[in-house]
Amino acid sequence: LNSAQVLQQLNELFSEIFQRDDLILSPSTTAEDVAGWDSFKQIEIAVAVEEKFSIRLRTRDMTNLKNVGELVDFILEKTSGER
Amino acid sequence: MDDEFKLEIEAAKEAHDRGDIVSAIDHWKRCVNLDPNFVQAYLIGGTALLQIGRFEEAEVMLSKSTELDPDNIPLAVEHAKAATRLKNWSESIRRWSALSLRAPDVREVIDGRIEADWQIQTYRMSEAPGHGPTDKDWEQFSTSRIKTADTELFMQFQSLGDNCEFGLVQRHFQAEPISLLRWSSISLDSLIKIVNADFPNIGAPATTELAVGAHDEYVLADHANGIVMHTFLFKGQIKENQNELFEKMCRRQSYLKRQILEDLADGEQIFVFKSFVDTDLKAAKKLHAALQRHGRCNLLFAVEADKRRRAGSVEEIAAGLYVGAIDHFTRPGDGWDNIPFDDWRSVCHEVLRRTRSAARLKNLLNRVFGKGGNSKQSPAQADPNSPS
Repeated sequence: LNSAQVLQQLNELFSEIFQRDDLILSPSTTAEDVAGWDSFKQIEIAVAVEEKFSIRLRTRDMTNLKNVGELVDFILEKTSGER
Repeated sequence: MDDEFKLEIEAAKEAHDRGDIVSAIDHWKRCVNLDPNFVQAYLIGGTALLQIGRFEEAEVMLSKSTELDPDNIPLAVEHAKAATRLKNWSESIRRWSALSLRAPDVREVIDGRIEADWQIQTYRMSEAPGHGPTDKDWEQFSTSRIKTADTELFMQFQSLGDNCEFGLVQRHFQAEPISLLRWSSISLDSLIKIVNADFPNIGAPATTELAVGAHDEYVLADHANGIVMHTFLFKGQIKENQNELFEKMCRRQSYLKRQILEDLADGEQIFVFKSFVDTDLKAAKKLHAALQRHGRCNLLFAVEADKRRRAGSVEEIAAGLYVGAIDHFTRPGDGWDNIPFDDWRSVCHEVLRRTRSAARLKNLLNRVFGKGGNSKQSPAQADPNSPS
C-alpha cells in the first residue's frame, strides 16, 4: 500500500459513511471541511478504518490526528508494522 | 566521591518513597554540590520545591538546569511552571509560548499551559490593573496556543454518566472526546456492576435494541446493563434500513467497550460521574474501587452544592477520588440551557491540577531512574525528553 492507495480507499470509506458521492478527500482535509464530521462520525470512521485495514485504532489516536494526511500516514505506519 | 554521590541519590529516592520531600530536596542539593552538571538532580529537586511551594528556590535550581540542558523539555516545563508560580507573568508567558511551539503535543506542556492560562486569566480578573501581563503579552500567549486551554482541560475527562450533562459541558468548551458513556444514561448501581464485570455484553445483539425515541431519534437500549444511549440519528435521515443500522451500532458499541477498557487501564483520563439521585459517597467509593480494578484511575464524583460544599469546591475523600460541587444539575424536562459551566470549569481545573501534581514527581523519578536502574545516568541514557 502507498499513500495514494490508502487515500483512495479512505475516500471510498468516507463517501459511504457520509453518504456522499461527491466527496473528495485530500491530505489537508480536516473535520471542519466535511459537513457532519462530528465525534459520532469519528467513531464510525474509526470502526470502518479498523475493519478495512485490519489495524487497531484508539480514540485518542483519532483525536490527535490533525487531517486526513496524518490518518493516511498513521495507517501506513500501522500496516507496515503489523505485516 | 562517587560512593558519596550514589549514597545521596539513594537517600533522596528513599526520602521520596516515604513522602519526606523536604529531606529529599536536601539530598538533591547535596548531589548538585557534588556534581554541578547532574541535570536530573536539578530537575527532580526543582520539581519537588515547586510542589511544596518554595518557588524562588525552585526557580534558581531550574534556571541552572536549563542552562546545562536547554533542549530538555521536562526541564523547560518545570522552569515555565516556576515563573507561573512566582507570578512572573511576562516570563511565564514567554516560557510557555516557546514550549508551545517546541512541543505542542507533549502532555506536560498541554497541562502546564492549562494551569498558566487559568492563573493568568484569574489574575487578570482579580488583581489591580498594571500588575498583570500586558495586553501585548497576553495576545502573544493566546495566539501561541493551538487549542483553547479550556478545550484541552475538558479533553482530559471522560464521562461515566449518569446522563449527557457532562458531555454537554465538554461540548460547550469545544471538547469532543469519544467515549462509551458520554451520551448515555445509566444508574450508579448499574455502572458499578458493569465496571466490575468488565462491561459484559456491550454491543451484543441479543441484549441490545434499536428503537425510535423522542423527536424520532434512534436510541440504543442495552437491556443487559441498563444503559440507554443517544445515536443522534433520526428516522428518515439515514439510507440504511434499521437492521443495517442496528448491526453498525453494535459494532460501534464493541469498539467503544474496547476503548473504555484501554482508557481505564491507562489511568490517564479523569473519569466523571454526576447525579442528583445517586449521591451516596459510600457508593462513590465503590465505583472508584471498581475503576481501580482496571488501573490507577482518578474519579471526579460530582454532587450538587449545599451548605457543606460550596459550588466550585473540590475535596479529595480518598487517594484519587474527588468530590466536586456544582451549583445544580439539570432535572428531567428542564432543558439544557442552565448548566453552570463556570462551576464545572473550576472543579475540573482543580481536579486536574491535583491529579497531575501528585503524579508528576513519581513519574519523573520513574522516568529518570526507573526501577532498579543505574542511579547516575547521563541525560541521554535517562531520556527525560521522552513524552509521557
